Amino acid sequence: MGLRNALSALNNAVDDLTSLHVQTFTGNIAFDHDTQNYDDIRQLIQQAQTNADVVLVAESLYKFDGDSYNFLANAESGIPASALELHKAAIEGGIKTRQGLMELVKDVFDS
Amino acid sequence: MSGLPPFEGRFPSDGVITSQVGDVLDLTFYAERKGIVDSPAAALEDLDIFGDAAGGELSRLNAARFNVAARQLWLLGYFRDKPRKNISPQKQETARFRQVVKQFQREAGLTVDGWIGVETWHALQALVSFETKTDRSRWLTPAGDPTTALQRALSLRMWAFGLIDSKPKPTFKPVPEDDMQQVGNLLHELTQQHDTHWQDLLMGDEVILAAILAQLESQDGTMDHPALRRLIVNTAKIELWLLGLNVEINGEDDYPVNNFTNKTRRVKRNGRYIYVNVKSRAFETALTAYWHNILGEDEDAAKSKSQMLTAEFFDSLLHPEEYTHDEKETVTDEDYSQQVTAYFESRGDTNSAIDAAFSTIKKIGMKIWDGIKRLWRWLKRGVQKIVNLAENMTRGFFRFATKGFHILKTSLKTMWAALRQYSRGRLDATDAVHVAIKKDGDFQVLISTDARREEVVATQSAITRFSRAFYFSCRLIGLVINLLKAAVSGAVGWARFLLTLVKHYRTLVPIYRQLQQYA
Repeated sequence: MGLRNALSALNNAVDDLTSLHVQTFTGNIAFDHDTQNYDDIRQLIQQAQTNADVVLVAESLYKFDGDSYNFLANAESGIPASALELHKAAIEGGIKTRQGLMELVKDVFDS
Repeated sequence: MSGLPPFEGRFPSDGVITSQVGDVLDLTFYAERKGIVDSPAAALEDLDIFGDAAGGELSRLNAARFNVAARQLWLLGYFRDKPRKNISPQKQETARFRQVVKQFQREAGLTVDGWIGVETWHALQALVSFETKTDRSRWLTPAGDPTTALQRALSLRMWAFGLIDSKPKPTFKPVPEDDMQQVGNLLHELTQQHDTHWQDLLMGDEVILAAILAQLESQDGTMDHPALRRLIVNTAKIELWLLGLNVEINGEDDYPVNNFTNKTRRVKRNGRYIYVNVKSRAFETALTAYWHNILGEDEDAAKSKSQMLTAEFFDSLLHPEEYTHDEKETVTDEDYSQQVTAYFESRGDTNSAIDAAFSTIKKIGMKIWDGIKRLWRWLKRGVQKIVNLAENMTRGFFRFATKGFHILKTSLKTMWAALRQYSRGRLDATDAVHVAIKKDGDFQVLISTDARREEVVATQSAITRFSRAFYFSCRLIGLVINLLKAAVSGAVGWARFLLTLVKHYRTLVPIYRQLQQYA
């Protein structure tokens, strides 16, 4: 796929950048990594051969009009620190991706 | 969350991003295909970024590079006849040319495909260019012997410095061992670097130049050793050629050194045959131009100094700042791009000036890629005079255009790689952590309970790399889009495109350096 088509696909797929939603799960599932197609972890969980103990441990939803929502699971053993670090990295990644798109359309937003 | 201004509305669905970036992509493709910018033939996988528009054309070297590559292959002895100037780049698709390239690739231990892509191009530079750093160990066989390509390169270098009589030929025979021994002894004696392999001394940049200076400073200026004199004469010619002056590298001792030359030719005078000394007018003219145009000596002094090759001459090559009459002011690469831009913008019709410069570039030939380091070293040492030479200003323009183009193309490729990842909808970092990228750029992460810490860290790095590479590539491309819009109204010609890249080079570089960390 050339760059122009890739951008068109982005243009057609992206609908709403006014919010950022990040979910982090932990658990063990078995699936064939090479052949499995998924664009949703929940879908992956459903398609997996086993999905024992998959839990949502962190969820963040930020709306850029100011509202935000954060959820952290309250497990007795505590949320693994690595899961929280990864969740934070995913939030930062989501912000950076949106900032990148803004750099391309700055003039449109300013006009 | 701080630092993120609110979106006024939804993501623009009218295709504005595709349109704007697509315009830049088209300019990039056009500039590369037309050979306006300096780049090796795109690797076949590069064609994918341009999609259907490429049509297979990008695999060809642009005209300027093709002429250089053809000349370099001739110098290495792969062609018997010197290529004509400005031969058509279509020749690279002929069976004969591809056969020659394959022979070079085989002898150099490269992938044999008959195309001068990035790997083959850089190999030619490493083996032929005077300024490209050459790691000789890179060109040894598994048994530790020099590859045939290296042997050809060594022969070529020895010939250029006047150490042997002829350049490599198509039916290549290595230089006889005795001759190599003599060359080795001479270089070790001259440089006093007995612990360094003489071939490394030969292929080094400015090693021989510095040694000649030391030799002349320690002697009274006379050179009785014929081989040493020939080396000195040809080193001088090479240095002048690298500075962009019109002199031929031919390995010959064709100039009086301290009023003595051993090169003579038989001519008929007054009915009798006599032997007269051979003098190269071009060499004398180049020396005069060096002293007068570059170092600022008055004409009489320049002519006088051009009659001798002295320690002063070689010292001036190594330490030009001590000889120039200019005001001392060091410049950075980024500042110099501004001077180059000002030069072209002062020419009136900028498009025509750039067009003319492009024609000059095609004539300069190999000097596009050789001599650049010296030029920049002189600039940084505060020698401003050299920048007034139109040819060097032209080289500077295309150097910055090339670097700016490379920045832009890297950004486009990085954006494309990130978008491909996005279209797949997931990041594959490790088997234990799965990251789904939703269509609105949201993330979902699934961490296996038995995931090791290093696997989680690797996934964090993958997310960071993906998002920051995308961000910085968008910043660069967005910047170029805005600069192009500001540069002209209406259609953007390739000349304005290049001028924009040169003019704003110093703005592009810091962002590019950040992109490089993640691309």
